[in-house]
Order: sequence, then C-alpha cells, then structure tokens
Amino acid sequence: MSSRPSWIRRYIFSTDHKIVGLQFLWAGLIFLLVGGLLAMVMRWQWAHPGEPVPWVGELLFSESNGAVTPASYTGLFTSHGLMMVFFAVTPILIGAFGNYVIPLLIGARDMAFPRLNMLSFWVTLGAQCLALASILMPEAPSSGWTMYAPLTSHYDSVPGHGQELMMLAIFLVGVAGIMGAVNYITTVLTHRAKGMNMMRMPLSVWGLFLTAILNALFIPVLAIAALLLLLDRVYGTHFFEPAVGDPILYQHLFWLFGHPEVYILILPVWGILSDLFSYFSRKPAYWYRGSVYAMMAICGLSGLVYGHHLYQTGLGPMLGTAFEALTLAISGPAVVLFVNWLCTLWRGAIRYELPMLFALGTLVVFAGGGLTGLYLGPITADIYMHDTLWVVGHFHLIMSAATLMGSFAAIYYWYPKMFGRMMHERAGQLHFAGTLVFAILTFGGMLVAGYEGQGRRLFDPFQYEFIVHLKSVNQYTTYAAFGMGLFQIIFAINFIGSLFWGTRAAENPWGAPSLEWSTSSPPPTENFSEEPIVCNGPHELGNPAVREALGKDWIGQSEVMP
Amino acid sequence: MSISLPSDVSSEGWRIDHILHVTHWAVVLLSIITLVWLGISLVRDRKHRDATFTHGTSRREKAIPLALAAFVFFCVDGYLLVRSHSDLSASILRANDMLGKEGVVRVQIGARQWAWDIRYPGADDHFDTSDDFYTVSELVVPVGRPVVFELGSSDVIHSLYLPNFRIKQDAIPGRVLRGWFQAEKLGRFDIACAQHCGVHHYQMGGTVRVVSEDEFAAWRAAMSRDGARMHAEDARAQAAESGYQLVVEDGWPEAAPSRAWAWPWGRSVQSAGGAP
Ligand code: HEM
Ligand SMILES: [Cu+2]
Ligand SMILES: [Cu+2]
Repeated sequence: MSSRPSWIRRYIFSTDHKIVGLQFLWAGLIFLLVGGLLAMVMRWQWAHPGEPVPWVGELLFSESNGAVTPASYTGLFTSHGLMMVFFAVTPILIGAFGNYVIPLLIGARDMAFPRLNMLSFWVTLGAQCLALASILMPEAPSSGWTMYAPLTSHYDSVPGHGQELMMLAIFLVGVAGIMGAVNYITTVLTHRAKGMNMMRMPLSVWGLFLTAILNALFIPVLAIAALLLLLDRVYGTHFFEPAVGDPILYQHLFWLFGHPEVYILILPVWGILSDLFSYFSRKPAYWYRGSVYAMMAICGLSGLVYGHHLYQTGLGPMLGTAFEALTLAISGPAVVLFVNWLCTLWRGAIRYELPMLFALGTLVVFAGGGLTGLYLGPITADIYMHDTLWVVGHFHLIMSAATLMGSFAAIYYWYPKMFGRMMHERAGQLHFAGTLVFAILTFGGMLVAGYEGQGRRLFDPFQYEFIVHLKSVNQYTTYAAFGMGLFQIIFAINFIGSLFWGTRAAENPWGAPSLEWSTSSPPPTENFSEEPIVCNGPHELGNPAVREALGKDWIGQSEVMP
Repeated sequence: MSISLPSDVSSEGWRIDHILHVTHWAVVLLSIITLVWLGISLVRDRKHRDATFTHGTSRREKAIPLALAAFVFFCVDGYLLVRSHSDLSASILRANDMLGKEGVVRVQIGARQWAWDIRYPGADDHFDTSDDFYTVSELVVPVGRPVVFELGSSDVIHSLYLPNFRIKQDAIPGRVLRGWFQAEKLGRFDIACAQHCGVHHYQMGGTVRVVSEDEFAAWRAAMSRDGARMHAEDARAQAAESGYQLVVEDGWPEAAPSRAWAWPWGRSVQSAGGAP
C-alpha cells in the first residue's frame, strides 16, 4: 500500500514490538552495567574502608582523594538499588521480554497499542537519563531506595536536588510501566491467534501477563506515595510528618507497592523457567494449570503480605499476626510451582544447552532466596533479622541472582530469534559457571554477615564493635562480587560478538513448539506471513503418538497432526 | 570459621534463637529433598534419549506438589506461626505487665541524629521529677531485672538495635513505643541503629552496660544528685574528640529537638507491637 517507512521510523521511532523490545533490552543492559559498577564501589568500601577506590575513585570522589565518604556512600546504595530495580531489571524483564515475546508467542502481528508501546520505551529512556543525571548531581539521592519519611522529606537529612530528579524519574518510569501494562493486558486478552485459548499460552506469557496486572494495580500506589512525598519535601506539606501526618502511612503505601514489586520482577522469570524446563527436558510442563493457579494465587497474596516489612514499627499484634500468617501462606503456591518444575525435569531427556544451564542455575538461587526468606516471616525471628545483611542477601538471591540468571536464560534462548545467530556455547558455559558460583558466594557472604548481626546501609560497618570480627567475611564477599562482575565481561563480548560472528541459527534451534519458532529469525515486521491457527498446547514434547506420526519428539502449536 | 549469632545475654533472647534454629532444620530438610531430587534428575535423566511422556495432570500426579505444599504449610509454617505467636504473647509483648513487676527499671530512650538520649526516673522512680537524669548513648542496667524502655525519636525514624539482647525496635517521631528486656550477664554490649537515618547512621552506636544491682543502685543515686549535667559534659567532650556530630545541648530535656515537632516524652505510649 504505502511506501516503505523511513529508516528512522523503522529502527528508532519504531512501533514494531520487536524493535521496541530490543531497545528496552539495550537500555536495560547499559543500566545494569551502571548499577553493577555502583555495587562494586560499595563492596570495595566494605573490604577496604576509607581507602581510595582503584581506577574510578579519583574520578568519582576527587574531593576525598578517591575514597568513598559517608555521604557518597548513602548516595551509592540508594542509586544502586533504584537503578537496578527500576532502570535495569524492569526494562529487561518486562520491557524487553514482554515486548519481544508476548505477540510472537500468542501469534499476534503486534501489540494492541503499538504507539503507546513506543511511547512507553521513550518515556523509560527519558526516565533513565533523568536517573543518571540525578546520581551525577553533586548531591546524589541518598534516602535509600525505600525513601522513608520523614528522612526524605527534609533537606537537612537528604540534601540536594538529586533526590527530586530521582523521584521524578521513578514517577516517569511508573507512567511508562502503566502504559506497558495496559498494552500487555489488552494484547493478551484480545490479540491471541485463533485457537490460542488462555490455557494454551506458554507459561512465559502467563508470567508476563500476571506481572502486567500487578503493575497496573500497584504502580499507581507508588506514584501516589512518591508524589505526596515530593510535596512534603518541596512544598512543606505534612502528609508524612509526625503529629499532623504520619510517617508510617508512607511505609504502608510504599510497601503496598514494594512487596508486589518483588513478584512483578520474578513472575516473568517463573514463567520463562516453566517453559524452558519443559523444552530442555523434552517433556510437557508438569501440571500446567497448577502452575498457572499457583502464580495467580501468589499475585493475589502479593498485595496482602506487605506488612512484614513493618513488623518493627509497632503494628498492632492482630495486624502483625495477620500479615505473618499471609506471608507464610505464600510458601504454599510457591512450593506447588517449584515442585512442578522438579517434576517436569523428572524422567525427562535433559539437554544441557545454555538456556537450560541458566534456568537450572536460576532454580538453585531462587530456592536459596525462598528458603532464606523463611527466617524473615515469623515476627519474632524478624526482630533480630530485620534490616541486617541477611535481608540484603535474601532479596539479592531473588531480585538479583534469580532475575539476572533468569534474564540470561531468556537471552541465550531467544537470541537466535532476535538476531538470527547463536551465541557462543563455550563462552556461555564459562559465563554460567562463573556467575552461578560467584553469585552464591557473594550473596551467601552477605547472609553470613547478616546472621552474625551486621546491619545494612552502613558506610563503615566496623565502627560497631560487634561487627569488627566480620571484616574478613566482608572482604571475601567483596572479592566474590568482583569475580561475578568480571564474568559478565564474557557475556558482553559474547553478546556483541555473536551479532557479527555467531553461527547462523537453525530454523528452530531448540526444537520448541511455541509459535515464535514457526516464523523466520528474526521475524518479519508483522511476525507471521499468515496468521497461525493454533491446534496444540505449548508443551507437546515427547508424545509417542507424535513421534510415530512425525518422526520427531515435538509438535508445533500450529502444526497439524497428519 | 563457624557462623553464629552474637552471644545472647538476655532472658528472652533464647526464644528468637530457638525459632531461628528450628528454621535451620526445616531449611536443611527442604534443601536435602530438593538437591537429591534435582541431583537424581540431572545425572540420571541426561542419558535418556526419550522423555517419559506425561502432563502431570492425573490425580496421583497432582497430589505430589499439593502434598509437599501442604507439608510445608502445615508443618513448617504452622510451627513458626504458632511458636512466634506464643512467644509474643507470653513474653515479648508483655512490656506493660513488666511495669508492675517488683524491681523493674524504667528508661525513656529518645533517638535523634545521631545519638541515643536516655532518661532515668531517678531514685523516686517517677519521671518528670527533679531527680530525673540523662545519659547519652549509654544504657546502664542492673543484671537480672526487667528493663522497660519507652522509645521515641525527635527527628527521623531510627531503630534501636541491641544485637546481644535480640532487641530491635523502630524509634518513630510522633510515637512512643514500649518494649522490655532483661540482662542476664555483666558486661558491655553494643547499641546500634538499624534504620538508615542519614549520613552518620553508621556511627549511631552506644553501649549497654550491665552492672550488678548494688553498683546500679549506687550509680543511680549519684546520677540523680548531679549526674545529669556531668554526663552531658562528658558526652560533649567525647563528641569534640571523636570529631563527628553529636549534638549535646544544655537544658535537658527541652534541648535536642531540631525540628518543629516535640520531644517525645510524655506522649501516649504504645507497647511495641501496639498492645494497649
Ligand atoms: C550484581 C551484583 C550485585 C551486587 C554485588 C550488589 C550489592 C549490593 C550491596 C553491597 C548493597 C548495599 C547494602 C547496604 O548498603 O547495606 C546493595 C543494595 C541493594 N541492591 Fe544490590 N547488588 C547487586 C545486584 C543487584 C540487583 C540486580 C538488584 C535489583 C534488582 C539489586 C538491588 C538492590 C537493592 C534494592 C538494594 C538496597 C538499597 C538500599 O538499601 O536502599 N542489587 N546491593
Ligand atoms: Cu539512627
Ligand atoms: Cu540509623
């Protein structure tokens, strides 16, 4: 019909969900690097408190001869936490995979609202730039990622304007998140190919879909909290001021968003893992509906358990116990999901290809994250554990180790679809081994220090006498973190190098039944040359009848049995 | 290297240690199940050319995840819930009852950036009388007697953290929370702040000094005579030496508030956990 759109329309201001997805991926990976470097600087400070930071010290902390100062340390953990949560992991897991994968997996030509989708990316990028600017300000945000009031509402406690820029950036990224969420929900509900009923969607789509619902429900809560806080800070209103307002009200709002946020980040990973375990053990996903219901149940509970972040604020005993019971109840559906994975692997024909390695690694660190959370559920245990490095180690196992390894699994898995080439196998294996081992050592080291009582957010933990003997643990942990960082270089080289030198991908390199592999790699603009008609579930692997008829161990979702 | 909790020198800390230890056993058990299960699959099943075909939807198959979920829910979670609840109601939230106990020591702790102001009722055991006295970041308590503290803050949220007593309680401006502990061993132990409260959060330390009953009585008598002022001066000298900001001002207790809202003394008191 019309003439070919210009280069800029196709690759920069593109409404094609695949391009938007890749844009999110690049943007997220870059900020992962930023957040990661901030983490390394923090770790340096704990291994060598007060000593100049090698290489980057002079640049970042010139006034103190390259050493981290107490004030800059508060900036570091705040910026790191916020960068990672909102500007790295969210864009990768939800922005990149959500966009790239949802339409392809449900057999749609594009998202329901392609322009909104494009806008969502550009708003995110703007927010990222703002966030970057905020941490480069002379006074970076220093409130902690939780931004508690009244600390954050007063300039004498949290000085400078970096904080406002960051809050604005979070507000914007929230707006972008809502745009994305509306889009994903609508797309999944209305744009599925013929025959693709909800219970035939790959579990990756379920995970992303449920995440979108949580985003749509809970980001507005964060937006309100941030807005009121900003008013308190800039215009001196008293929403969260003691006596006239209530500082704890802020915590209720923040965690009403903040706890679901953890599930927002991990649900896409759960979905992707569920599919990968099936594909790489050549077996259907065990009790598909059970996994779907388990994820739904966790979404339902996610907004009802946030009170466990407030145990030490003097919650009434009744409310405390209710939150405690609900918190512990989450382990029910979580166990169902987890055991379904183990049962999927059981008696499969396991293939240790790169996505599978990372999926298995994710399973291990996620189990670690879940089990260490058991220590934080009971109110009494949390009296001791609260705000220690135990908590930091626990949530990093999930929010960092599991989301990152899960993202890597997804990247290695869909890379051939995105770029038509394979990533290098040996390099990937090395990356996997290094990441898994050092992630466990790094976050395990935090757990050890926390169990022995080390508090979080301490510029120089060894000012407290009871922490002094933990210095060597902190040093080992730091070296492990550096090791983990170094292994990511292999990934970066592999990711970029394979764009040019990777071997060409076969049509369906993993023998996976889902729809994205029934079109070319990378797929054409509107994904499918003709609309697929779905006649099979997403996990028809190892079916003897199929093997008999087709001579292979799987049947594509739109493939007709002869 | 062994990994252990800080030594417990309190009468009730064992409750928390106990629940942590029970959790260890649960975690070890669940880890072994997972690792063995996963390990068998990973080693044995990689040799298979063909997988065993099943969607895992028969009744018997669904029973496996459900049974394990039920086990974790009822046995592990159930125990933790019941146990922690009974510890709370039997002891940890009992600060109000402790007030009526013979020989109870009462203190008020006001957190501020970045020190702990501690007020004692003096020899007459009543607050707001002329023999009240104050210490800064040093909590002196007698061994073997319940100590009931009322905790508030005059600026931002802090959190009173006594690792050796298994105590952690947020200090919230505008609220006063009540809690209690009882020391069982003589010695000096750390006070830390557990909530990010600004640049010097990492230095908001202090000491719990546990002394014998006699020593405590003598100390208290001396302090209620003229100790308050002396101590404030000591603290000021200390602060000047260490070079970090510790604001010690004259005219207790009206001093200190650097913010518009009032010093927490005298507001309504909630027990930690909120029991009336
Ligand atoms: C790549 C390896 C990582 C390392 C070595 C690392 C290390 C750290 C360290 C040392 C802290 C400071 C703790 C403190 O001051 O008490 C921290 C805080 C934090 N990290 Fe990470 N981190 C990593 C990745 C991530 C990722 C991927 C995420 C996000 C999803 C994340 C989220 C956070 C958050 C939310 C905080 C809390 C910030 C705060 O206290 O306000 N981290 N991390
Ligand atoms: Cu403090
Ligand atoms: Cu603090």
